[in-house]
Amino acid sequence: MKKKTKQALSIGMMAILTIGLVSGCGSGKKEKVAEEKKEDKKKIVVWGPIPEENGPQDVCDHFMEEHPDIEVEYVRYVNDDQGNVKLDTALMSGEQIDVYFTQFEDYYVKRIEAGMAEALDPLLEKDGFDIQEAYGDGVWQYEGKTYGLPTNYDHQFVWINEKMFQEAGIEIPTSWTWDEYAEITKKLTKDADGVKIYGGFMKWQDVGRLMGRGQVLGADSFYKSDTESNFDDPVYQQTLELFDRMMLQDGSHMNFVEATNSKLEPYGEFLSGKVATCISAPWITRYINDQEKYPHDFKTVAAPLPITEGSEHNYGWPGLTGVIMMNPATAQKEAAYDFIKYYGTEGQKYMCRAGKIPSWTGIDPEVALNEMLGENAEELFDVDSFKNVIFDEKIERYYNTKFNKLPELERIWKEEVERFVTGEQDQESTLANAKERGDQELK
Amino acid sequence: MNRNKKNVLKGLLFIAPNYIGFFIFTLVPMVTAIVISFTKWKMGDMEFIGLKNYLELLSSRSFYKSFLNTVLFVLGTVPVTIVLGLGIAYFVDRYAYGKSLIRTIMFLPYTANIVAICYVWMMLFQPTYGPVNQLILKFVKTAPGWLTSSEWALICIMALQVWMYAGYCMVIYLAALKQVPSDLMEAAAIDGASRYKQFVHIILPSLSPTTFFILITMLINSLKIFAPMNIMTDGGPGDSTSVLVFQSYITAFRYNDMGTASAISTILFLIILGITLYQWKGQNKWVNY
Amino acid sequence: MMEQNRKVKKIIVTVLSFLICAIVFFPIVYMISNSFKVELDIFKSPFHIIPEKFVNNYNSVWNGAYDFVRFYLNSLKVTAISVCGLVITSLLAAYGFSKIKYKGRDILFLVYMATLMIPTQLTMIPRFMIYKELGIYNTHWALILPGMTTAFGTFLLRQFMISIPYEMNEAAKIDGAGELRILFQILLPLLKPGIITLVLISIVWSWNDYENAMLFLTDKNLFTIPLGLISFMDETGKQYSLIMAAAVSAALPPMILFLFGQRYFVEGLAKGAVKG
Repeated sequence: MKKKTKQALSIGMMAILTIGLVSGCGSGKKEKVAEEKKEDKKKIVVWGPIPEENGPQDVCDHFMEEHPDIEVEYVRYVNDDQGNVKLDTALMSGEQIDVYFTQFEDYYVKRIEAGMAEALDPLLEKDGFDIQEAYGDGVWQYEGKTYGLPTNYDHQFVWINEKMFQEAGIEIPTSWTWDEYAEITKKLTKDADGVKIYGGFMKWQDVGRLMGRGQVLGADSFYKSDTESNFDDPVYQQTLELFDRMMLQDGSHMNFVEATNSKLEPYGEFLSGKVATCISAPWITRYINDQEKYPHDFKTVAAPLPITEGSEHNYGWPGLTGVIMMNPATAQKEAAYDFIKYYGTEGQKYMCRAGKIPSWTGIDPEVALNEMLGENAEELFDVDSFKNVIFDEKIERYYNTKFNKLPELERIWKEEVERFVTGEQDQESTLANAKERGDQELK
Repeated sequence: MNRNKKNVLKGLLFIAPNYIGFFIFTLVPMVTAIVISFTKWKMGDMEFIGLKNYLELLSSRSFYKSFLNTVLFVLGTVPVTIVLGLGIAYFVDRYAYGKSLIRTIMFLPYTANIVAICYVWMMLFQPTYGPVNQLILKFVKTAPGWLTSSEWALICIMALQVWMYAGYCMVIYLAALKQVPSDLMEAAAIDGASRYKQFVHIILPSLSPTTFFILITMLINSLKIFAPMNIMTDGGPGDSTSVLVFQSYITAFRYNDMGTASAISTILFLIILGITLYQWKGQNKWVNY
Repeated sequence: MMEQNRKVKKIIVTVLSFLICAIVFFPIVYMISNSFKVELDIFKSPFHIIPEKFVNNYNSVWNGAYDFVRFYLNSLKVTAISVCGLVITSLLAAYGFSKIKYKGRDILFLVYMATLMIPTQLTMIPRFMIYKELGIYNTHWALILPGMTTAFGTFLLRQFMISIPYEMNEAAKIDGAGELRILFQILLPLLKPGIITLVLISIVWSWNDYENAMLFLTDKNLFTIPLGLISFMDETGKQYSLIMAAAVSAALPPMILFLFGQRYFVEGLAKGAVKG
């Protein structure tokens, strides 16, 4: 009898352990559901790449003022490969994300193809929202549908340390070619007490990967046709020649590999005086304005992006970006749409301070510029140069229509260029390899 | 009969808590991975395409390169780690003072946090200001770019791997050396066998089970290398540090191509399964107990 | 003469060994030294092992605007629960695989062993799907549940258990003890070294686990130490002095554990090795 009880007891214990193990799995989710139910307010969760204190929180706060029944929670993700993977996996896993931002087109495509983006057309139509009127040309589309609204207009230009130009006796250009740019940055490169000062600086992720092809070819620059890659276009050769000159021969720029590897940012290098110029989009104004963290004793001047000699086009890149999108799994479709529309239009005025050029035509450029350059504009910036460069009407806009294997093609171009700028292969084999691999992907 | 049944139930209940976890978190995922590798799947609709993923891999440069890098990585780390571990263990065991202090220091890297160590590595091997190149530049004019150079990046990560595991091997060898039968050694010494001969004919054979275990462990440790690539180099410069696990990871989570990614995992899985099976078979053949 | 020769040899080998130790130890010293430096001194040429100017970067790491304390607590929680769970499930399974005889046991064990060597990295995609289905994705359970059911624990404890003669079981059974009582009252004291070994090794593994945490946690509030370090890198704007202070804080617990439990580590790893 006694023995039997014990056996029953031991069997019971095992069972409990086993069940505990299996059911332990579910418990995490249950808590979450319970939490959501407690609140009557509609809650939407937004994932974006900009730190909340640099504007997004302002937008959210103003939105909540106008929509007291909606609560918005903003979560920041870091906009690099790892951060974007985080967002993707979170989306796939069914975590509550109602609205999110996409900065790069390859991610945009990937998210649409994976069924993680909702086409907004029916909602826009119902609302009577005219995209052409709101943003003009260049809004990203995928197979004729709109999956998000652009929240800013990004284009790259050259940021100049006025003091270094004066010291070197170089006049600040108001228009120049890449040849002239390479010449000037070479002159500015010097050795200051054992520390090398580079003439220029650019990162792969937001500048290098679009150099040349973005500016000259504009749309679909990787594709010759649906089944053939475009790496044999002369533009790629010109770009490599430029990289070769700047990074390998003149040494006026740090090569992409070292810059990425050391996790350097253009604003950090520029404001600490380690480079005379850098190529970047206006988001770095927020660091120039932050004199506590980035004290510096020079005025920043803007110069337009150099042009390619003989090119018919001068596209701005990446163009209309910061695309705000909707997760099809959202339970709050309407609230999410309201927020997307708000952020895509009037909400943008709170983002100027963070260095975002508004994409919405409803915001006065003059006002936006003042916000962007901040209270100490006269002291820190050459305001006129910024006015001319940022709102340069001559810059054309484009949007892509081909997306097959885009992330793979981006990676191929990155890998081959890295092998080129580290001297592993010459120009000819770089182009040949890129072409061969690209064609194979599209085959 | 009844007793047998009872025993089965009892036995199963005892192993259940652990086995169910193993089933859900290891066995099922493994089988699923193999199934996914025969499909085209971008998280949306799933389409069965047979061996197409594998065939495409065969002609893909990225796969070829990451396969090659994985092989190079294994060849560059496993022998070095084992020889270093055995060599140091042998000499320290026989001749050194302060044996336990040496053992402690050598083993520490094994307990280190990989992320922390990657950051230390990035600083140590920083091309312009890092202490390693500061030292090298004192003697020669040019120093390698380490993690920023296609030729050196993989070697730099190999060094990290050797650093982490050499001490681990040494510690295991030290324990095994204690069990080498001393009467054999004495007999050999009386016969006038040289140290070298003693090492080759007595010590090495009696260490062979240990060597075998270490060999397998190190092989798999090197085959699964991933974190340093993801933290430090992103597979670059170019694709010079892209290894199979890393390639599978970016194919899945950046290209969103789950089928191909699973095919890469499956290939690696077959390699490791082969090694394990060989271990079982080979154990009896060339390992002396 | 011979004796003296031997002494010289010993001294030479000792010196050489400590030289190797110095090289091995250097990255750790470098990490600690940089954690006390001013940011500007870190890449100064020539570099100094002893900082020219000491600053307490630890204060900014632990009391600053960063969530380092939270990462630490998360890691403690995950490690503690998974290690406790692992010990219990492994003890039971090891017992079930070594002390109870029944049909089919060896086949089950064979499947077990065949996968012991398969690294978790190969199953990221399916596990990602499974965790999602189970609702444990982006919760600590995604680390704890797999962590408390590894095959390694069973394997290690079984190694210790088979060295205990089965006669002990038989004797206990005659006295009327059930299986659980045999395991927890009679065998447990004999298994102490094995359990301590398992605890120590799995603490180190669980604490340092980067891959699983990276794949399965997205909420920053849930981050464990390895992820915390990475987000720390992003947030501090790559201030190496602070990162090194955080890195030392992260690396310290397993190292201290090892210093105190060295004997068990060595014994446990050797046991797996020699008899594996």
